[in-house]
Amino acid sequence: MQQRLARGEAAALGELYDRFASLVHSLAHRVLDDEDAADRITREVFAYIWEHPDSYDPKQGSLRSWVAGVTRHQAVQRLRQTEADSARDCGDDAPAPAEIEQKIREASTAARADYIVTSMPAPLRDALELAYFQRRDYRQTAADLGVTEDEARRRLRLGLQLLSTAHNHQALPPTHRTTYTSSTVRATPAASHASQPPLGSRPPHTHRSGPGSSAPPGSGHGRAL
Amino acid sequence: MNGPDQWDGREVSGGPGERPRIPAPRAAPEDRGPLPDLPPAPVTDPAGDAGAWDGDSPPHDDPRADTPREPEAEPLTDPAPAPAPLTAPTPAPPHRVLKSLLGAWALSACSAEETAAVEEHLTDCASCADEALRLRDAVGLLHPADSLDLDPLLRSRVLEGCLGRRPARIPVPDWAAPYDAETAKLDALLRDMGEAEWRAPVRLRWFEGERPVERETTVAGVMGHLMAVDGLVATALGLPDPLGTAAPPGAPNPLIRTETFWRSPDGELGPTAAHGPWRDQSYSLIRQVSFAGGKVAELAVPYGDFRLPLRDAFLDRAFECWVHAGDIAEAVDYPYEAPAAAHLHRMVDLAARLLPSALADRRRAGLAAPPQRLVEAGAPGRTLHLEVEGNGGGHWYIALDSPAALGTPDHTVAHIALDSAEFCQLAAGHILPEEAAAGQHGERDAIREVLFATASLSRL
Repeated sequence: MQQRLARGEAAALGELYDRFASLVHSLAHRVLDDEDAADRITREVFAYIWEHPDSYDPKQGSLRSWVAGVTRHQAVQRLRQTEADSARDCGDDAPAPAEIEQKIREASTAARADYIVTSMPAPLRDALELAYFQRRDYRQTAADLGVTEDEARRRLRLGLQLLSTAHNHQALPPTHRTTYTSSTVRATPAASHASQPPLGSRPPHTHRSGPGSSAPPGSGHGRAL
Repeated sequence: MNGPDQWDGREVSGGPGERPRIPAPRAAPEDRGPLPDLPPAPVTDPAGDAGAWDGDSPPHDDPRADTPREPEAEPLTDPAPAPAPLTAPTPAPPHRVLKSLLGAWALSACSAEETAAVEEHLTDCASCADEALRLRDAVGLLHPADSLDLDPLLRSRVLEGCLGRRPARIPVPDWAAPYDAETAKLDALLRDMGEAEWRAPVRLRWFEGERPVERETTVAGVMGHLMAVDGLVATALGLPDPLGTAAPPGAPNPLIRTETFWRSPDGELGPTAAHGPWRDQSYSLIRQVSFAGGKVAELAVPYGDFRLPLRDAFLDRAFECWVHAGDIAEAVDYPYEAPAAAHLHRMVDLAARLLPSALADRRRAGLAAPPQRLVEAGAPGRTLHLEVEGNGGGHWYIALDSPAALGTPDHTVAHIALDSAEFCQLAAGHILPEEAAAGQHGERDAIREVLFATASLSRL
């Protein structure tokens, strides 16, 4: 796909859109909570990829995780911009900068969490879907999925553990520009800390349990491609 | 610390915890009924059907790196953790069982007894308490998936924006753009559908001779039909025939090919089985013509008793894709958008260009009156002014006497005006010629014959 894009094949661009448009649009919508803004981000993300197909490094992770990272970056940048604009317009009534940062961080985390859910192995996602959205208890979940109760408990726990890694990433600081390193975007737990790239001066947002140095090596799950 | 063997067997109602109690998770769901004594699940292979994923240990078992990884976290390497069977309801479950319940606890998906046992345990087990907090925070990140459907027109806007910034070195020919857009739109519809919807009955309707015909199939059957007929174009371009060795001998015919596919083993695979192959073939078609460029635009594609140049075959397939996507959308009660105006205009234009031949076919079949006079090839003859209004509309001048004659405004003997949606429904055989809501003026026979000829453009 990357080669076809680099070669300037319009058909590949169409296929790229079909594969990732709903991911891009939904992540942008989660960050910005606005349909038109999500449309705009979708246009910008695909234009960026089309113009810079070489900026994706397959060694760093899947194309899907990279696209998600580009999207979140663009959406967070846009959110930062609109928040700054509205703060300027509000004058003295503007929210404190810390408040704005908090909002941006939450939006970024929510987008990561969405990505993790869509990328986690289907058995884990299905278990979470039943237990949380369908409000089934774990025994019913086990019965619905045709697995043992042990297995249902294990899937719920593991699914939430994966999801909790969404907190382990920092929101993109204002100085961070267009280097989309895939290690900032991968949903696999292994990538969440160890390879955190230097992103400006802001200290990483640390979760109360601290960096999980005991995280196992990435086993490749969560890779959709 | 806190390994399974170190659990001290203290009862649930043991002494007060030293650690602050972690507040309960989200409100418990509706009553699940009593489940007093946590029977250990039968020890079977815990891998279950989770083979898709490799069963590695959880990502953040315990942040304290000096703690050895607990065995229950690696079910595949230790398939028989064999908890001691608990027959008496009184003792609290061991640490490893409580730990395994943390996910269910955070989701309020345990029994009341288990919830109490877990919360008791959290007061004196630091590692479980840490994890419990983390998992409960994670629950807050669960969010229902957006049900927002992407605006189908966003695709062309996004692609145009991209190509404006960096022109394609290998563009999609513009006569293939409607096919590209319509297949993408149908693909998006199919991806939104659940498996049960693929079994929905779909009524295919078209017009034969003087009467409408219909045929019942399923969504899966429609996709097989689209794939089998797209295969005509694929084979003309040297791509593999989706019917493979089952392809019927002789002149390619859309109806025969469809029925062959429906009868073939491929046609009886699971309901969604046709989606991937159909999409792969449509992508291949678009890619193939992109690389071939203008050279193949006039390549003849055989359709049984007639041929279409490739550029028109792509328009025909775009039209069919839209019409059948509409059939599917109606069957599963989804909204479905018409093609973009520029694409619709090309489709109407193709139908208008095919009308003189369709009239001639009907005459040969004795279904229409013979021409009133003979016209030399290329000379102007009696003409019907077809005015299509609305989205993608325009004016067309249809030669009535022969396909070789020229339709011109000067020789107009009749005028029909109808909406583009109505015209397309008529050309798809979805409405009867007598019932088409058309403004009419001029020779009644000419009008009738053109309306019938339009309906006769439809086929399975």
